[in-house]
Amino acid sequence: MAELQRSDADQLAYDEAFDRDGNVRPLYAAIVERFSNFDAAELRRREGIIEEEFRRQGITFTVYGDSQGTERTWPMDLFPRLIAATEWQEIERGLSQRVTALNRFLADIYTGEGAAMADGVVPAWLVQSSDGFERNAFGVSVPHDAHCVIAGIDLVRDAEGQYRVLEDNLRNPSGISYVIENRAAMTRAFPRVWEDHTVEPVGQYGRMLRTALESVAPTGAGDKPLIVILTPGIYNSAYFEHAFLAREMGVELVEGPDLVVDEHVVYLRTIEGLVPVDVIYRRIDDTFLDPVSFRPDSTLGVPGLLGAMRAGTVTVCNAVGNGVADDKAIHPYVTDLIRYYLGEEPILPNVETYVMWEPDQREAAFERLDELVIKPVGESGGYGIVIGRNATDEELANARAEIEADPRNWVVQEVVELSTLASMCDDVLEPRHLDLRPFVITGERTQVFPGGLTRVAMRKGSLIVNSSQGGGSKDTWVLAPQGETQAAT
Amino acid sequence: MILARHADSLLWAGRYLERADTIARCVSVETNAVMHRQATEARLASRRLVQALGLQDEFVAAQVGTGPYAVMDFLVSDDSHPGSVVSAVEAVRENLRIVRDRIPVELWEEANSLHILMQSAKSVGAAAREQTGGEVSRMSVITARRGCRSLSGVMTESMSRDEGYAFMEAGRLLERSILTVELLKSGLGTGADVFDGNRLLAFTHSLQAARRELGHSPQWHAVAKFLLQHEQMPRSVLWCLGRVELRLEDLAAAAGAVATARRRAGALRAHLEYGELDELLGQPEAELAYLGSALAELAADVHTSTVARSSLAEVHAQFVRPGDGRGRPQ
Amino acid sequence: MRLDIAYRLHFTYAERVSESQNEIRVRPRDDLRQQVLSYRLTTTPATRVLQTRDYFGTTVDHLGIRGPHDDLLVVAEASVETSPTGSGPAPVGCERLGDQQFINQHVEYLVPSQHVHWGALVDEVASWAVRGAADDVSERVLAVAQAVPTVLTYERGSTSIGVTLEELIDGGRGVCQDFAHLAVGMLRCIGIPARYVSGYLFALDETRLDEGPDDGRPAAGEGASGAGVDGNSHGIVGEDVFAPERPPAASPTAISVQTHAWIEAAVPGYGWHALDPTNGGSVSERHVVIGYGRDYNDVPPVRGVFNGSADAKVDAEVIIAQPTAPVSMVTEPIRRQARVAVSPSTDVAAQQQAAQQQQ
Repeated sequence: MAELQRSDADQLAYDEAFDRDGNVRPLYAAIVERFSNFDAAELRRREGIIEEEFRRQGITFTVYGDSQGTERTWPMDLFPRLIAATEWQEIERGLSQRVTALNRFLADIYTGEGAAMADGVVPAWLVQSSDGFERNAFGVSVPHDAHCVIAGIDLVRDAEGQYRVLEDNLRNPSGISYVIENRAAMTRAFPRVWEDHTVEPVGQYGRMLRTALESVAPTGAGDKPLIVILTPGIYNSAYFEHAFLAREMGVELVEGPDLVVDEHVVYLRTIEGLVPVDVIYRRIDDTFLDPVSFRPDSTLGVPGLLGAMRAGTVTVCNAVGNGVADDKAIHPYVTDLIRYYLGEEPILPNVETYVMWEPDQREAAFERLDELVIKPVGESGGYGIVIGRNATDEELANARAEIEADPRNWVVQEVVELSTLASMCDDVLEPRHLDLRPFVITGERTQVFPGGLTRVAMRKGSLIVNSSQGGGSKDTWVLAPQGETQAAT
Repeated sequence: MILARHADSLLWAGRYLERADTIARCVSVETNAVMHRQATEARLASRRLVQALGLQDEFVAAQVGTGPYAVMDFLVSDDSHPGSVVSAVEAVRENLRIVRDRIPVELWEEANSLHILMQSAKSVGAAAREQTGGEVSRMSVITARRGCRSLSGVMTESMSRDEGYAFMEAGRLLERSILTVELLKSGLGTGADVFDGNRLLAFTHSLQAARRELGHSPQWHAVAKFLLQHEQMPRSVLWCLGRVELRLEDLAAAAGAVATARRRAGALRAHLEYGELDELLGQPEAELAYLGSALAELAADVHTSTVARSSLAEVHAQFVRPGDGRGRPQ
Repeated sequence: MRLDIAYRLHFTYAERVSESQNEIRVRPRDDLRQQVLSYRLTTTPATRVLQTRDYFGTTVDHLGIRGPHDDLLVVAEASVETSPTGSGPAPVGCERLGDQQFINQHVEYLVPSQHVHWGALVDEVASWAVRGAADDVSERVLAVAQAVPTVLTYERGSTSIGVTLEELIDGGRGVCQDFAHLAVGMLRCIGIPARYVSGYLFALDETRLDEGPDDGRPAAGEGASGAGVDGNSHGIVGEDVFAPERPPAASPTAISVQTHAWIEAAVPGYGWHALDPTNGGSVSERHVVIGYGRDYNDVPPVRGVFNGSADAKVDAEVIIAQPTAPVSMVTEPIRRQARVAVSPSTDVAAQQQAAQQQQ
């Protein structure tokens, strides 16, 4: 019988399954019970089933070491993450509210009057100096103002268990395919765990996304708009996901050269000739979309696409220029944007963030820099981050000098102790840090897909959950209301 | 509706599937024969097989060792050239990966599994494989043959008979015809390394069927007629061409794009069906050369029908600078 | 001043191309100083032109030709009425540049942009340019504009798109675009917001403002002064029209030029102040604005791609006329070799595929 290691008594982080006294939380009672009946060998056997299944199906992601990268099997941890129904409802409302406001913000910038800037909610200069601010997106309107059809919002839980927004991903968030494949793998490896729980299904994603994409088709597209997924190609890290979504939605997976623009209408090149396209769900970066208006050396885009977008004959999702709203420098203003556009209090708080271009905040942060996290705005994937408490005096002095030289490029955040949950490490289940990325779909209205992708740092004490850096994932269960009662008894 | 690029991927997936299957079969036939022969003679015959499969240049470039199993290893597990089983399987997998969203999940999974198995044999390394006395490559051949059969099975049983199927099936049949003609060439002439009639039939998976009609020691001429002209045998070129025509007719909506290929397939079929083959085979080299190039052109036509509408040429930027009157690259 | 402008753009391809897509920015801008009376754009082969306005307010004509073609001719015709420029800005102390609100309002024009990056060398040249200038923003702006022609010599074809400011200073040669980029860079690095302006200049010689056509002075063979312009490769319509012996009374009113580039600098309390660094002078009613941006990349006259063999030629020519005389395309424009593209290798494609960020 495997002993689940309780959270460390002195650990600062919130543990999902055990309270501070080491007692199992009611939500996890049944699953902990079940797992304690498996010995290490049994868990390893089931781990093997999952691994083999992913390998056989070619469920992979690409890690870039050499120029072309290596395909790796998707890593999934055995122990599931559970979210109670009531808790989920709160998250759902919070995400929906947040993405609604972000879409309003994007519409305000690109097709509106820039009201939030004019009214001083967000400084105009901050918007204009964002790398994601795309001047080519001006005047390109999107039906229902759904600039961000698919958003992935990264949530973490602080020491009190409060969910907080760490980052918004409004350009090309990936991971939804793994959510669905994780559930399938879990079902294969643990066919009986479902006896104790009623879990919200995840299989409806394809339909949900297709409906949303259909709803943003340009007027005049007809009842059955033609939707395509535009992929960079098989060398992209997320190619598996692109193919997965095409299959789940029943739409064509295309590359740039499969599309052609004629008199401001986009067509698909088929063996039967040209077929007009209504909606393009693209998974390539803004600057590669159209070599005419963006990077002229792009081999992935479609010449003339921007003209077609401006002519309103095609909708491109997510819209161009969303990067301005998920800029780390804009993040601290999102709660104010919620208040401004919706007149509501934000349901999900941000991770507390200080902006370095405001003298008061900068001075306050400088006084306790050794307790905070310093993040460069332009980097992603954890690069360039300085964690105050681990940094030497010299490193802190350097960071300070860099901030003073270019305050626009830095934000400073309170440390968040990511919550932990039992994860299979060698032969024992030990607590490891994790986050949660739910997906929010916007068409005519905004909906939250139940659960999301739980990413877990497999190295002890590590806070880096990225799969490219050895992070794993977990099947994430949102319990149906009645299921929760069952689980608790 | 099918994307031109997807049609092309399926065409090539079909061709490589047939190629992997045929090479694996030939190697397995040769391996059985090797066991009953003198080593030098066996090596001679193996070289002839390399030649028949059109891999002489690759063979020289690969600097294949002198061990008795080196030639087999070259044909099965050497991924430094595109003509080996392991390379052909990889090509099947890569082409299916491109269309994985539109083919049955099982077809992709079979291709992926086969690829993984073949890669593991490859990763052993040539020297280590030789040391096992060809055992690793022999197992790979068995794996590959089983894998190809199961891929054909899934293809036949679960693929919708849409345009994608038409291209993949056409690819298989064309590759089969091309290889059959090439193998027939290796039965011509005299010398220790010339394949006899039975070997040719075994290479083309026709031995059992032919024995009933041709007896135990068929001459080349009879074998050639059987493999070129047989009406019921799905290994014969005539039969394959008939099916290619049908598949091209399935592509009614793309009639314009495949018109050339259809005409050529029809003409070639008529040549085999109504031509005086006995007379033509009086000059066997010339006839086989004609068939070989006609089939290659037909395959190229089918390929062109898929790419004619997709972007072949490169995209270049054009700019104008003020005060300079000319465009420059950026 | 009323000016009729005909912008003629002719792409010819060595081999038939299957597709071309372009954004054209050649329509004069409507603003307080100039008024567009008419504008018309036609193409051969014919296609549907989509007209939009970009972020900077510049009119963009989007046009594409699908299907095989050997050449593409785009002709834009505009009539515009320009007014004389007013007096320049009054003296204003440089401390006003440090005003946070002023900085925030002009942030786009203070930071580096694609073609305008600067380092120590530009810094040095900029400080040298304003060394004797008083504590007055407008004087410094003028000092920079006047310093540029002493750093660069005008020479057609001496540079290409993508040249850095450092390379420009080292090479010491450039065309109007380079003059404008260098001025913008020098201004930004001393804290003065600056933007790039694309437009037309009604003058025989873009390096010498005083030589408008109504001066009746010849351009060809002029060998003009320190600017070192070679008249024969100058893109100016031939000597038939501008023959030196022609009497001043019959002075030409139609000239053939290229599009031109100059700059605007933001002066606190005044607004955008236009200057033409190519001739070190101010901007007159002979300057017709198309639009502005952070640099060339925001407002190129033509930006496009074509699909086919890499060999292509571009002839771009502007005929500007004062409508007292009929406009005519007098000669065949000079043919010049254009783009020689490097074909994207599959490695490039693979790298680009891999580089697409999946968040």
